[in-house]
Amino acid sequence: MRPADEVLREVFAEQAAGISPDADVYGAVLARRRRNRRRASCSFSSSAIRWAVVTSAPGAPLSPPKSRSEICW
Amino acid sequence: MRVDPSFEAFVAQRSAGLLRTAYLLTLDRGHAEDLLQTALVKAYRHWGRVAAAGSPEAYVRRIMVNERRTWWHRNPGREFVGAVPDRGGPDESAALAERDAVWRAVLTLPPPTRAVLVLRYWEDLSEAETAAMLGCSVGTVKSQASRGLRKLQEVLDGAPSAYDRKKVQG
Repeated sequence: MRPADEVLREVFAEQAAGISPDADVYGAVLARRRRNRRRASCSFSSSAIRWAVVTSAPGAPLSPPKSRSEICW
Repeated sequence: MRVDPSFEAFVAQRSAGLLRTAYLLTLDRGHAEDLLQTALVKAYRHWGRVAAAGSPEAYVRRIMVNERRTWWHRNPGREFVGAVPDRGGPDESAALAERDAVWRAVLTLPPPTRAVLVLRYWEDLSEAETAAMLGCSVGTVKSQASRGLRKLQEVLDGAPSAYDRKKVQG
């Protein structure tokens, strides 16, 4: 019987061989970073800005948004 | 958005290897991609210093391990384990049966033990490097690796050899 560490190396290589980044990893990282930055800027926006964003939309209600998620998605 | 070209080149060259490590840590392709992306985003925030330090791959790998450790702590016993494959047929070679048995056993190991085995036997890190990456002592790495390998060896010793299979069929 072969030693476990020897078989384990083969097992890891075999399992990992089927894994390759078929998606655009770089693009995904950039998109995620952009999302994080947008969320961060939203969290620092003042209520006045939120008010301006909401009231500038056509047909927008004249009351402030109830939650930040209405303009930050 | 302007991005450091060296970061772009790093991702192009190293993401495949890092994704494989992430997969062995998470046992799930989707979780592995999330883990790698999280680590790359974090590394990019300090890319100037990371690249200047000379080993950005080790830095990203360390972030992945730390992120996963945090996840294990927050979600004890909730790790996704993919479907355990069906046992192969009787005509399967002994080597294939061995690897199958060992992979099944790997899936049942506690995450910290598996992390040690991945870093030692997939990443080929030394005991000291593994300890530094996991933030534990070399003694802990030795004991975890020993415990994990012992369990795998027990599985191997109990796995039917090609000779046994012939006897069963014959």
